Amino acid sequence: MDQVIDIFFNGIAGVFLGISVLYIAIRINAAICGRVLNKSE
Amino acid sequence: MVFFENMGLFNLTWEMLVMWIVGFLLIYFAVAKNYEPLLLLPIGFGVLLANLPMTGLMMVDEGLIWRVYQLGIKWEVFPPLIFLGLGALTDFGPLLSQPKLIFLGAAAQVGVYITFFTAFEIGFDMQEAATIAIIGGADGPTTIFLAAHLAPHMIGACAVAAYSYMALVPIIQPPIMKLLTSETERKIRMTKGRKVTALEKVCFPVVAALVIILIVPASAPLISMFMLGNLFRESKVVDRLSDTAQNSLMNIVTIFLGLSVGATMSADTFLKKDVIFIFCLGLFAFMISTASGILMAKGMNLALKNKINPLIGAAGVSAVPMAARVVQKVGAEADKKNYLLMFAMGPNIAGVIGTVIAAGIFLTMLK
Repeated sequence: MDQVIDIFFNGIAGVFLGISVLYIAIRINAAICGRVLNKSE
Repeated sequence: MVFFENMGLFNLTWEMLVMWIVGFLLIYFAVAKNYEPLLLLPIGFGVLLANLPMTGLMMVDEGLIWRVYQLGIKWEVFPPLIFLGLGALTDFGPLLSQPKLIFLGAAAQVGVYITFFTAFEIGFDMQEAATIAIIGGADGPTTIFLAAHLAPHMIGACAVAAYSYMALVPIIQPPIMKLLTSETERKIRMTKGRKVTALEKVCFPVVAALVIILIVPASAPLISMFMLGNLFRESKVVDRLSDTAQNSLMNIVTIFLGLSVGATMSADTFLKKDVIFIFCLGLFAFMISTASGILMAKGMNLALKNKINPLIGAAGVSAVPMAARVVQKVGAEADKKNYLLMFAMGPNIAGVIGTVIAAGIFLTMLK
């Protein structure tokens, strides 16, 4: 039972962690791409 | 006499005939009702083949379909190839223009974990509970991928449940969406997102693959192929590869995936009371995932200046693009000029990524 509770909480936390890091990566990617394009213009 | 004894006709059992009905039903739903026909049609035919006596099609080491099953599903080849095609078909633009909507795809996975807990309480072991729970992600290839790893004896039932519920999205989701939102909330119009550049779209699959795989390495087979397919699409320099991935290759893989999944549904593995629980829990997972996506959107609205329409939270359950279409339909019922489709595509795609991460976490913790 302990392992089930462990998977339950770690699972939800893991999904949100993964998605949060991806969110940050999207924002950084957008910022870097924006700068590169501005420089090239 | 030996010939007569080995005729299939004399070796039929009533259990096989029951499975024929299941096979015919799947073929009927695919052909007459157009419910996920690309998968349910070959699955239905596979069910018929698996329940014909004396064929040896699924005989270990010898059967034709057994070999396809072993290569494609046991060795994890088919689901990643389907993801390659899905990646080539996916436009991440709606997600990149409003990145905050990605959290709706994560919230929808809460249903997966609640179902995991529930299934375990009912009496399934942890591997089986995880396989059933992932149905809530409404993603067929991910369900098959996880089932092949954790509970191969459940592949057929879980795949049929996942694809059936994906086809039934327009029936299952609207009552939950209406129950959890007010008329005023359903009328909220979304603000337009920023413009996404081509460079950003090319960089995204590479960045996303690195980030996700570094966090959940077990998701690599699916995420890597998904992002590679998308890189084919967005780079615009390998149109032939992109075209092959999203058409010919995906079609070929779909045929054999469906056929071999269907062929796992022999009477002795399918006619059990557990299968009824699988279908009920799968539906439960799907409903909770829909609800948690909507509730997350409502929660986000407490902090956001530009409110989001909570209906789009329902699209967090993968089922691309059906769930997004349902959001558009329910939104249009409240306000005819409210166009939510493109906004719903963001969480819809995020739901695919979220489900793969959830499956990766299950694999990491249970394998």
